[in-house]
Amino acid sequence: MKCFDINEIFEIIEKRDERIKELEEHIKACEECKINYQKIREFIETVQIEVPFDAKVKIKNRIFEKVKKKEKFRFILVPSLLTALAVILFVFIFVKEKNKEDIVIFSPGKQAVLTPEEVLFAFKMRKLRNYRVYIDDIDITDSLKNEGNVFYFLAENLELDPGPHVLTIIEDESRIISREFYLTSFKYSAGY
Amino acid sequence: MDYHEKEELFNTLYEKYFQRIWRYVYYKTGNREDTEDLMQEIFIKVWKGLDKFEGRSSYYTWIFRISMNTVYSFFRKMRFKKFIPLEMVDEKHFAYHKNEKKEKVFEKMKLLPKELKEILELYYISNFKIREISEMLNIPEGTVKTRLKRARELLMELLK
Ligand SMILES: [Zn+2]
Repeated sequence: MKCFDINEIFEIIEKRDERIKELEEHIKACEECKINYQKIREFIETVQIEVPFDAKVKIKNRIFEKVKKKEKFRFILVPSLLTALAVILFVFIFVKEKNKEDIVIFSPGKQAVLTPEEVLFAFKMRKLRNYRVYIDDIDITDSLKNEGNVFYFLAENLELDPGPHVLTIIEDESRIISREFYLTSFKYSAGY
Repeated sequence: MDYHEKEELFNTLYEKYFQRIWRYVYYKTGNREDTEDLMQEIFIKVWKGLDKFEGRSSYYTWIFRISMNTVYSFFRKMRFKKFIPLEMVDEKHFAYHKNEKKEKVFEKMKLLPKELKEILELYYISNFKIREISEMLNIPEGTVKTRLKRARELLMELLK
């Protein structure tokens, strides 16, 4: 009497194959196939994840609340975004050109917008191999490396809402610099 | 596409994929609260992306990639919050499935090599078809089938 292999049993159960009768007959006499059959049935039942009945509607309402509000804000987002990111970008470029070990704080007006460690980091970044830069959860590292496109990329791809955001820089997969900045509709300001 | 058309398309996609995505996200996070938040985030990204969607892949491929990325970001953010050394972190730390039996099976699944694990997840958790998985992962159907077979065999070894 030929035994059933694991994949045959899976397929018989999943496809509701006619050979189920054959299999059921077989496991009366074969302990090994019987155990496999039970395990597999149990697996298929266990992996079914139920979706709570109210989740779908609830989440959809939340989504539409958000996106409808957002449509209104959209037109003022682009300039504010550009300002915010221009500042960050400027620091990278500025520091690079100075090419010295000193720390420079770039300030577009009277107000300094980045902390010394961010600037220091921007400076150090060029020498490090392993770093990633994120705004919120968006990884912008590769765009920063490829400076020619950064501005375009940031403007095109990041849609930030007014409000708090996080600039995060991870060095060598361990040291984490994380800082909040606040994006208002017209200007970028940093809360120290 | 005007607003009305966009909303209609969104609703269709939402109806069609909500359940599959939910299962995937729930499997990854293990709790309802995070799943709800992530579902919201995923479908907001879908909404935003609809205007730009160029049809280079199918909708489910596109939506599923968004889902995977969103879940991945979520785990990364959790890592920041908890300051857990990177090498110690994986989804196990954040999953707390209430159902013990489920948890045991899911834990075993997560032990499989990545390329086998993802096939099992797509096939058994999200109920995608072989053809769909092949498109999503950009590998031939034959490879999906081979991996699925290998994954089942290994998993059964682990569950013994
Ligand atoms: Zn047998």
